[in-house]
Amino acid sequence: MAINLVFYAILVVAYFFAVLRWLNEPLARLFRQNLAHYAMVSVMLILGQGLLLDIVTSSLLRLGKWLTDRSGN
Amino acid sequence: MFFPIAEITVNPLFLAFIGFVIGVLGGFFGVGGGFLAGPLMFMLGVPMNFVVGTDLTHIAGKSVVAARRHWTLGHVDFRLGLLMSIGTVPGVELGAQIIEGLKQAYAVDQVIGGFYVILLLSIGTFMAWEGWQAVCRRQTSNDKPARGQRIPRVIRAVHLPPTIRLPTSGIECISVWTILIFGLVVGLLAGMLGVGGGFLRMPALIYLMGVPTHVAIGTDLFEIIFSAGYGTVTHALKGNVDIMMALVMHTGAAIGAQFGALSTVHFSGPRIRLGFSLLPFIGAVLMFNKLI
Repeated sequence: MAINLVFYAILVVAYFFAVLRWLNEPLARLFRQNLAHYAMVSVMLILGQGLLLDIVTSSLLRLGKWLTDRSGN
Repeated sequence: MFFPIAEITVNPLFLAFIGFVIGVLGGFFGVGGGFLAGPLMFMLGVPMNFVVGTDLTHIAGKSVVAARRHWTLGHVDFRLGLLMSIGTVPGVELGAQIIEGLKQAYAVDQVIGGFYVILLLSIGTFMAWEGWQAVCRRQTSNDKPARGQRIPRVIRAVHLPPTIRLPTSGIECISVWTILIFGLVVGLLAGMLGVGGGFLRMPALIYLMGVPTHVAIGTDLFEIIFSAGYGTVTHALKGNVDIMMALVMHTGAAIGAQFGALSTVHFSGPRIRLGFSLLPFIGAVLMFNKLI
């Protein structure tokens, strides 16, 4: 479980830097140009990120369970 | 790092750390943590209107995942949640309009900051009292506080039509108006302070309406999707959301939630609740210090 958590943390930190690198300027431009589009994109991004991180978490938990079962057998 | 939307320079690792702390709170303690994130963001120098909008946005991201889990466990009363949302959405809009008015009067920091201090002191006092009671009763983490049935009986006795039956929550008959007014008040707080409102909705569902604790938690999270989702849209349209800050905080929260959930195995519930009651007081002190 602890190894899963560390792996998960590494994945999320890598994602964190990717988001900062690629999205900062385009989103600021959209904020200045069209607030309605910015609002829609904001909702989609935060909900999408929530679901993405949930899928990653669930997959890692399943993987951990599978590895534990395998080592038990 | 410069965040061009809020036009402020903040270390993103600090933001991720705030997210992490409130993620741990969520996983460990079952609260959204907006009441703590707000003062901490304000401490970093984020303008209050961006604190409110951005906090709501990151809460929306968290609530979807949490509500999905509770839905699979059958802990969501959809009728109650949807009805509350009908009251909550106008409440959020009203709160957002108040922020706009205060923004134009250049008083948003002082008024909302002052309101925050009062609210944090109230939450801290309630949590300390509830935690102390639970420790005295020597309850374990699985035991929930005893629910008085007198208040729910009085509230359910108000049969102002239309009324509704909520079998998932074990409610035979309740006025729709009660639920709508309740949603409106929580929505107003959410729109004004950028909090999910779980700290208010949860105890009210349990102690005022008599909803079972696990259904109250699931329904609360389901309802936050609407209040925080609508709050995100309306505050973004008013230019109060820095989505980059919200995304950064949310990544920290995702890690923190896993740590929090893992840690609950090693600690007992009442002592955790008593310990965490210090956090709102710390938040109040930080906010007060920034205001003066």
